[in-house]
Amino acid sequence: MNPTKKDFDPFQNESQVLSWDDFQIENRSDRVSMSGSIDFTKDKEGLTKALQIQKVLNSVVTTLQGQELPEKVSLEGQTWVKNPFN
Amino acid sequence: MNFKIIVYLFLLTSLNSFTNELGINGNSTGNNACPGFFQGSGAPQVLNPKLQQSYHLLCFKSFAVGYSAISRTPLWSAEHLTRDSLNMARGLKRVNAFHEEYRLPERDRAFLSDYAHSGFDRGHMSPSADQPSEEAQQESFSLANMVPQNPNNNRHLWEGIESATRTWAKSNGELFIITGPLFIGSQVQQLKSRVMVPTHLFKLIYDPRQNRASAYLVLNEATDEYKVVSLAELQNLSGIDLMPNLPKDQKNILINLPKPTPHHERSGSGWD
Repeated sequence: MNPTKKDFDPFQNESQVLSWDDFQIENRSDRVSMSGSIDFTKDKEGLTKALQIQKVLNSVVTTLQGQELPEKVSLEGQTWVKNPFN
Repeated sequence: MNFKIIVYLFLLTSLNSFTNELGINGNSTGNNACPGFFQGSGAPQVLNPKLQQSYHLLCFKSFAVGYSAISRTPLWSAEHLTRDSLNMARGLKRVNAFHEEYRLPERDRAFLSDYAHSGFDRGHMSPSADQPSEEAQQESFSLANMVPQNPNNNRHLWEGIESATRTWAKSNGELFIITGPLFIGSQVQQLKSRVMVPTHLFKLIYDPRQNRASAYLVLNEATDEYKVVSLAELQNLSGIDLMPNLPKDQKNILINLPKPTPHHERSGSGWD
């Protein structure tokens, strides 16, 4: 598998998803989300996975370090409307 | 536009004025739409007339979606899980991309930007991990298969429900599944004043061995709690006859559904 055929570009789109078994990394414009579980086995496959995920995390750190950051990212509030299906 | 298409459009608009059916070939109609994904070959029938407005049927490689352009979400997403299809799904790992559903008219689509900065996950209705091929898995990332879902719910309880469902389908041989949102109450939330946030999520499971179905029902919140409800109760809540070919008396009977198996309870179990 080659999860970086198009490099993961953190915070730059709302579409990229990388997955390894039950573990996945999603790109969002205000966050990078990691979820699931993953084993780094003490073998060649474990090292490959660890390097791939390290590469993504490094790019997250580099991108964040290269910017002026707020204390906390702000979310847009949702609007409430009359339920059109009622 | 040739004569046949005009007649087809006329029939569609006159007989079924609010409904669009968008098959892979653009020509699936009526009861034969998206074959293979439905219990007894019966596609869900929308009963609530307000849900019928701007309703689209979308066929995908290994699931089918009833989509509402009012909520800009699916109302249901149907799959037929088999031991073989799940064994093909196992070990698929790769790069995917959330994407807008370009078969829908632009005015009816959810956009990727609708979900941005919302704090909600794009929650799959038919899960990517169920899909038996790369193409089907990529299709499952269509926003026509997504609802705004509480992230904690999506990644823990809901993931556990999806996982338990796969485990059961593998041991049972096959199951028919319909997953969808509910919008209950006088007021609902919207993202960007465009995409409706469900109040609840359901996963309906039909077991051919028992010829019966029941559904997990959860609030779209950070919770570990779920209810199991009958198909009849779910029909009342959703306004959709999700399995129209299942006899009415069968719809009232509850069956046991497996306990959700979240990641933290699964590790080291040797499962998968």
